Amino acid sequence: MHTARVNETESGVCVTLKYLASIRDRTGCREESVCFPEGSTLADVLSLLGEKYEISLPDPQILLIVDGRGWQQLPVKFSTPLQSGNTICLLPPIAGG
Amino acid sequence: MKYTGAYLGKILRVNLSTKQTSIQRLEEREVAKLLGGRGIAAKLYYDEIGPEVKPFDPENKMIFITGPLTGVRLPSTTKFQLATKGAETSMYLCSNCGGDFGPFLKKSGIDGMIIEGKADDWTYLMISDGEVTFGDARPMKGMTTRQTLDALKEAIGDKRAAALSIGPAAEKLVRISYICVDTRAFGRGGAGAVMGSKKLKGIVVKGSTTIPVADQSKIDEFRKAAIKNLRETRANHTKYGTPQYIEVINELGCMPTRNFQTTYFEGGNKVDAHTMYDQYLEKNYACYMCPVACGKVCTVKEGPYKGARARTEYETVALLGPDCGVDDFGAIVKANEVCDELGIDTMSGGNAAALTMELYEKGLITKEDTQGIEARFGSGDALIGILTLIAERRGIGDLLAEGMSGVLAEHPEWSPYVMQVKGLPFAAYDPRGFYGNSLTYGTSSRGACHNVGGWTIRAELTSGKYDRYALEGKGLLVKTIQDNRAYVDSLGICTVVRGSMNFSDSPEGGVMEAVTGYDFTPELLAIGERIYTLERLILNREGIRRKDDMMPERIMKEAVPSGPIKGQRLTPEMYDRMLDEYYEVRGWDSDGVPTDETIEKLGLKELIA
Repeated sequence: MHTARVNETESGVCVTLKYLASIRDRTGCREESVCFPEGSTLADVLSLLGEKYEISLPDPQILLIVDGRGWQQLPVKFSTPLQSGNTICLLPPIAGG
Repeated sequence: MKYTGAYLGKILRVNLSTKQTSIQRLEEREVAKLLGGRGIAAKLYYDEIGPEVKPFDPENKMIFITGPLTGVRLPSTTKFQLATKGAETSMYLCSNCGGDFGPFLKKSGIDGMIIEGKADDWTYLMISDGEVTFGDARPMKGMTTRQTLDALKEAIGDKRAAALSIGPAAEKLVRISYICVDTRAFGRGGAGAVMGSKKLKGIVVKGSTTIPVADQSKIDEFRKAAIKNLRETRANHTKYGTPQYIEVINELGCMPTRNFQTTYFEGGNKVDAHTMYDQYLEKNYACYMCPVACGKVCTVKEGPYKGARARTEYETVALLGPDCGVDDFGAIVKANEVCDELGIDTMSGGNAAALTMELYEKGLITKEDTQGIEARFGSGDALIGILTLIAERRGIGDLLAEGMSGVLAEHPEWSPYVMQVKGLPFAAYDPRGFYGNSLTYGTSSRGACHNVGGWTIRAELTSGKYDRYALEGKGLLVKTIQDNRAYVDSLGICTVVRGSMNFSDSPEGGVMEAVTGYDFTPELLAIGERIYTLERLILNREGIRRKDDMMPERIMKEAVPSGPIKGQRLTPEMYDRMLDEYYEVRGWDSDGVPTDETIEKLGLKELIA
């Protein structure tokens, strides 16, 4: 685990952030587990990414996927509440190989 | 021609039986409706290759056509198109290829060429400024693809000439053999075997024609803007190439693993783009006029496969790696090299090896079939051994060399394990993870292809319009992507750069007018739809109907057993709903045949009269 926004002994929601392909060049790690206070949303993940890695979303050069779905598919987009166990992936734009 | 640029107006016809050549006109009315490349090649196929013609008949032809942008001074104007009756599928095959050959063909003064007949003995063709020489290729027999390319360039006396060749597998009519086009390939569908059946070992071309354009200064402006755009948006492609998708597709849970038995490969991080970049990358390479240079030459520096060298791409790595359970990148490079040099398509080769491994592990074939190879998933040596058996038509390799259709004809009881549509094996995405992708494979003009069929995954992930597991809307999505691809394949540019010149599903900008003198732009998507429907009419004539658009048993019957999308399934009823919608938006009837109204609406009636 590389970082935690709240002490892991406190109550909170813990999610896994995965940095795929070229995104890893910006973060320096493949994945990390991060805990947020209860009631946090996807927007809080974006804040963390901005503070820690200077990644500013939305960005057409970075896709953000929550449990296998693009953030654009989520009914309330970045206001989506985080749930423990969420896997959030950041990846470059993709096209057929 | 009313077009002041791009087209040369000439198609070369070469008869290998009579050793005669002629020039025919590129018809302006056909250009107006079909653009070039894939569109014109499909029309010539429709006119000249009937349903009764078999792939290895002398009456089969190889139709190579460039596009209006091929060879023009814009980024990656590298592509040209091949239409023929494919050896792997025994039906219409369209294939698109980069490298230098297409641009050089145009610089030789022709828009394309039709190869027909069959040579008495091994022959090569030398084309210099449109003049054709028939060469004796008997000394090249048995040469690898690369050795043949070198011999061809020596024959023409110019190392910078462009060449294409076949390897030993195509000489043996292995139906999954490919045509090597310098650094690129006409990979899928068995075009190499068709060339082998004609005893044509290779073609080398050079020329000094200046390709005419309508407005060079505007083209220069578009080129600068496109290069700037590509440097900003494709830097990741330059660094990691298509192998960057290994990690992504695996994480999304649609990586073909052990012959599509599951969709997440536990050894994914051992074969991903970072492993490639850190341990195996030798250098990048670029197609004609391409600033992206996404091609990756990889070499194995140590271990049992030391010295192996190949150009790795996502599809190749996925199908030779995870789909065969192989997590050793060195073994994948070696297997890639074996395919490249002996002349087998890596995608069909990977599928064939994975099938062999599953059959072996289930006890349906034995070491007697595999000539002593312990054909278990995960073994790099087994993978390389199976590919060699295929190329040399030994043991089980002789059956696999007949392609998946040949395998099923001999062993229909193996259908639960054979991953194919219309005889073409799957590309490297499991459609249970993205439902649109099933429609892609089912309705592609050449079988289970992600390119011609329309690659849906990004739209299903991020468009905000479609959930990956939704059924509604996928018919229109797939149709739109297919039509987009059909016109891009007809332009003569690489799909990687199309965004930089606004060749999307809402095309805009002035590139077409600057090059040809005519603003095709508002018509491009409709041209793509016309081409796609023309291809369907060809397939219908060859007997293709709804029954042929179906998914294989594994996709329709088995839920994904493990990984991020564990439990996911796609039933026949779900697939039928998507297929019905697709036919409806295409204007095809419920059996997958374009209606008279659709033919009329698309202006195809006079083209097929």
